[in-house]
Amino acid sequence: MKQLLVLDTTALINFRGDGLFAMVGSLTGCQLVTTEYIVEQEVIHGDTMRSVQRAIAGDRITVVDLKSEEELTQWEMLSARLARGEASALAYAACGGHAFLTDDQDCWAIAIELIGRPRCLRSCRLLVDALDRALLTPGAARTLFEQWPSEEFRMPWPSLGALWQEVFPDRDMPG
Amino acid sequence: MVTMAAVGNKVREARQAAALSQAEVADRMGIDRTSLSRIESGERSISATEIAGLSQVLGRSISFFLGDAEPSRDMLLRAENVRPVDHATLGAFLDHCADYASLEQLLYGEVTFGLPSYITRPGRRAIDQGEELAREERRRLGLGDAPVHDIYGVIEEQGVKIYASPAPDSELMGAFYVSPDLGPCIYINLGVAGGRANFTAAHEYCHFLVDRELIGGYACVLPDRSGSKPPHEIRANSFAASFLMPREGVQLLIERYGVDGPEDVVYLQRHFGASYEAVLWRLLDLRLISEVKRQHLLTTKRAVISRAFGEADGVDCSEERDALAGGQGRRFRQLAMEAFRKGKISGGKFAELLQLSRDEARQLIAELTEQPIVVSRH
Repeated sequence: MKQLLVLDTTALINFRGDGLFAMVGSLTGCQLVTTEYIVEQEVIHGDTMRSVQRAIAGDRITVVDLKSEEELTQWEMLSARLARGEASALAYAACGGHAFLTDDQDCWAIAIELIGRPRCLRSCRLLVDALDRALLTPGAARTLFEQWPSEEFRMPWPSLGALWQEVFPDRDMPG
Repeated sequence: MVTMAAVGNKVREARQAAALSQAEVADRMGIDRTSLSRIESGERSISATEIAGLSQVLGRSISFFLGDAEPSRDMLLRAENVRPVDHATLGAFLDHCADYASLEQLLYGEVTFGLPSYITRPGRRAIDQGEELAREERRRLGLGDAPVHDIYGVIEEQGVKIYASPAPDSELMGAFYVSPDLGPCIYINLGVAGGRANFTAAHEYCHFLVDRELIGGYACVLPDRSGSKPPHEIRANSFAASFLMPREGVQLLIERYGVDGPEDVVYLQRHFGASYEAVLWRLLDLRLISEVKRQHLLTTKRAVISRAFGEADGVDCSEERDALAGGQGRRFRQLAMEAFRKGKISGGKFAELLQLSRDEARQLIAELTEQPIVVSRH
């Protein structure tokens, strides 16, 4: 059975483009999952909503709901520092031992405290991996990266090149 | 730890406070009545999505159902002068104050406020007690005889949490609530004219200064519903009038300009940020006009004001309303920004607290990052 990768709202926004959810699934080898709270309360407009609905219909993303007392407790605790949607995704990942994908710097830092670095992924890191494995062209990767700062609250890297250098300090970026 | 039994109790409590039947709530949520009944008795688990649905139907925050809210909070909702129509408003008020207290906890590790506690002199009339308290509090705050230009800012600086929302169909003017977990909290109905909302803010503030240890929470309603007012309400009204319109400040203006017609009252109204009616009562109280003149000025008000200002009330309270953008006080927004800057909350949480879209929150963060923010701790 595949490991689950839980996506929060920012990850759904960032990978809303054609074929990108499938790319994330193939890159990580995980079944993508998000929460019903995010689908019903947060991803309710525009491109992201349409893209997520298509991915759900095509079984590329599975929707789960928090039901156990442990999940609801974790959700409430995390909601003091995170938005309800982010908190629901992280609570589900934490209680089920799943991997977690976010693009919010603050949410990522809290996730590392809670579930440890190995299970926490950032959209930016996946972008570099996709470029490294030629799942994205350099042009497509750059376009995506340039879109994301306008959707991010904090973006620690000024350019895709700077991000690449941090991940692969000894190699030149393709393209 | 959240337990299904505890959530069930909260669901029942919120449903009963809203005066809704199980069938009505179940219908609005799209589940059957038996399921809701089993949720309330803790026999059936409830999902995050169902809690979100209940939150919308019953007008309470998700944290109300999942958190450890003090049982005493609902004492405000059960007060005899609170009608079912006001439950959602007061519930939202208490929930906002819980968010506010949570920000204080994240930043300072405690809920902080620095209000003095006054003891009223026995044997004095409530109206005189209010006047004396206002004078003392003005002195403590260093306000002199000048108008209070930002009543909400002054009150928030003392550590009082303010929440305002328009409830035009309600007879609720304001409410106050105090507890060790939340500290002092004020609700203001913005569905009334600006000057009146200022008066309500000052009125509720008085309750904290003298009544907070005797009465943990109280909803203040329009005078005609409550009939004869208890002494603490008379005292709070007198305080509000004196705090907004200090005796010496009013007398000075009257000596200079007199009170000949409604235009003069409107001038005082704008100067002190009080309602037209409150100015007239204050002038009568200070024996600067007679009751006959008050009646005359009251009846000629509407035509003159609409001619001069083109609106129902002459007070321009745009600055005060800006200070209460989204119903939240300025200090709450500063705390949220500070918590975001220090990495205590995520950008998404910042947007959620300020009821902004992610785009709006990003723009606001960009603007505020340019300016230094000083948040008072008390």
